Amino acid sequence: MTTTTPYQTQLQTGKSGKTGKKAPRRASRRDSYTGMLMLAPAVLLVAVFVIVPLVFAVVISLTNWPLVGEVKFNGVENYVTAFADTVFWGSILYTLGFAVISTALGIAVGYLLAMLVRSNRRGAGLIRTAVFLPYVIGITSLSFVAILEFRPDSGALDQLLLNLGITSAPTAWLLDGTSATVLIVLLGTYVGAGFTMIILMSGMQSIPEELYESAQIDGAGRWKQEFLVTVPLLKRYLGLLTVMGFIGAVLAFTQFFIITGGGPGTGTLTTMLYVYNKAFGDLQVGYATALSFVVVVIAAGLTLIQFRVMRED
Amino acid sequence: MMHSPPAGLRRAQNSPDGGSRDFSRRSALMLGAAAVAATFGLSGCSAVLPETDVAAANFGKNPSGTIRFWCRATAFKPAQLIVDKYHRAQQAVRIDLTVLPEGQMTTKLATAIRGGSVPDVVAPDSVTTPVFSTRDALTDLTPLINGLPYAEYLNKPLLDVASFNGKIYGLPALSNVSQLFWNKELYEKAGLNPEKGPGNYAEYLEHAAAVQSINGVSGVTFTGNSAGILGYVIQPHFWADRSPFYNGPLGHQQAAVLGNEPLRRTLELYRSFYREGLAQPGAEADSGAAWGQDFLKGTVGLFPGSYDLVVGSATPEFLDKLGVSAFPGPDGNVSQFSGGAVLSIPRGAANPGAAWDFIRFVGELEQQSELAALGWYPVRSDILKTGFAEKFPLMVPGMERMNEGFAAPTTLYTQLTNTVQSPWLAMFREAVFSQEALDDVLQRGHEETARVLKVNQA
Repeated sequence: MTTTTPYQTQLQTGKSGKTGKKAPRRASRRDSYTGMLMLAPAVLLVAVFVIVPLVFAVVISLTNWPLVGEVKFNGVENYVTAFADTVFWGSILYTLGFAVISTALGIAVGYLLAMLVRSNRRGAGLIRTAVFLPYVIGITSLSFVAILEFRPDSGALDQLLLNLGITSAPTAWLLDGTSATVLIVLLGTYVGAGFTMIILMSGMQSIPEELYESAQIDGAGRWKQEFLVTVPLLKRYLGLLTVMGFIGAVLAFTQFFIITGGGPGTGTLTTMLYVYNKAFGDLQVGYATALSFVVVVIAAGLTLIQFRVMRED
Repeated sequence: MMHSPPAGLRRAQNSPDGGSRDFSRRSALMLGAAAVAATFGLSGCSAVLPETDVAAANFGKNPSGTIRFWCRATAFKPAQLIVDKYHRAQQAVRIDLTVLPEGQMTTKLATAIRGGSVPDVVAPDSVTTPVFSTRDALTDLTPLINGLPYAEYLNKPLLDVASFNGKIYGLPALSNVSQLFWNKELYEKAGLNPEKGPGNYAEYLEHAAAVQSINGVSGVTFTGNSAGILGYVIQPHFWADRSPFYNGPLGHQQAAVLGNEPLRRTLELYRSFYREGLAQPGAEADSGAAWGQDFLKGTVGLFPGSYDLVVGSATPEFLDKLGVSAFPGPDGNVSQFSGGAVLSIPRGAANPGAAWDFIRFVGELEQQSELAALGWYPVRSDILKTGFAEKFPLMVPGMERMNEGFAAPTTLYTQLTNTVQSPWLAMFREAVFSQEALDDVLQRGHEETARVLKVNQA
């Protein structure tokens, strides 16, 4: 049974519950203003930090917007140029390839490490700390270290490979797009594996032990338990890491900027590095902003596909 | 129990005349239009700041206050030296010196101009000055520079690079000049005349081969993987015949790779050095981290390099063994890269009068002599009339040929030469280190140079 208060009657009919006369407009306006006032700070923040910059960015992308010089409106010319820019599309393809490989490798290595340290056996804490340390140091510092260690004359990598007899002469690893990419992928995995490990380890530790016991009784071996129990129950974690890793890789900039500058030639030119060069090297902020919008659309599309795949699963 | 929306909202939704809904929509539309109008209004503005009239009678008279001076990291030592001297010389003007990391000047200065808060004096790399002079970002200093008593002695290539449409936007302050060095001791051992370096490509190849014949010695050393160094020491070879790989007026330049015979012969020369084993081991991978160190150890005969590097690192005994000259062209002309810094006053500077007083101070002969002691070439040829030659003998050839140098007058030096993506680096590496036919390399180099010019000059 429901009861209706006079106030609710007033809300539903727009009339006073007692007298049946029209509600005074001033009181309703006051309510409205109160609501608007309470929303104002949030609306203001969103407007100032999201809406206005976004609209402004759209406008910039429709102009030549040089950092220095006269601004001229040029309609959709930047977008037309972007679609014909072979260097830009080359960087998109390269970035997507890099994102797929580095995301997959990062999760695979992180998973193996998580398997290693998920139980609280002796030494597990030390391994966790050691593996997580590069993530704390950060990719910027480690990229500078990598430059030194990948050098052909004095770098540790060359010295190691020469001493092991794997190579016979100093090799300039960063002079070849493929070998430079492999090293940057490995560096990214080295830095990010600790984070992936911690996330997956916490997921593994939340799986009830009884499930493994049941699987064991059903005759499942060590690896079967891993693939039939652990992996399905970690899907949410793996999905999260995939989306985060992929978006992070699509936006990769720091390690490429420091280690290769996108070279040799355009051999390691990521999209973000190209956009940066256009904006702050060539001073073409208008064109760079248009490129950014194209990247946003592509990244959003790919992320939506990822979410859709995960949902269907 | 039913949940109802707040009264105001509900009334607006149910309003028979839709007045409130219209009001909301209208408000939203107006707000949106205002936002777009505001942003378009902003886009209508430009980053061209007001220019000071330097021809005004009272300009630069009784300078005082503080000036902000930006220089790049490479020029920090000479900048600090001059600032300290200026502070000792007078009390009215103080300088706030900011050193920018290498390669950051263009971005930082452009951002400062866009933000409307610029330094009073800037000393970018000379090849960066055209980026700003062609965009109405610098103060026209023509009457002031032409009025200097030593104007006729100023470094002409640097003045050219600071000029646009007949106006001069900066005063050359210091210079670094690329030179070809040779080891006289090794020359003697190889049976060559130690007092005479190569005068053309045939001699260059011959000298390198002769020195190479000495056990454990390379004929020549060069960095095969540094765009900046390769521009600095290789391009002067074909500039000697006035044949850069791009030409035309600033803002309308064209690729000039195909049909450029001096360029082709330069690439062939270095290809020969590499293929015939006359270059140092590892030339292909050399990114310049240890640039010229093998030459300084005495294991290389010829070094296309930089005076400040050689003089700053070599022992006095080794310096006595050195010969130095400008770079030979294919058939006997010579050239050298006239790099360095040009001092400019950005438009919108807060204290341009004091800024000019400081710039004028830098150009005086006493300061120029002190810069030479730090390894930087003076920018005034009249310094040769003083005791300069005795104090800095290895600088003399470069100073004597000061006005035969080249300072790369283009707004796109970075994009064309100075980055890992530049067509210059790709063309040099493919021509010298790959087995590809030179015609194909040049064709691709031409197309890529044209593409870079097109997208950046649109």
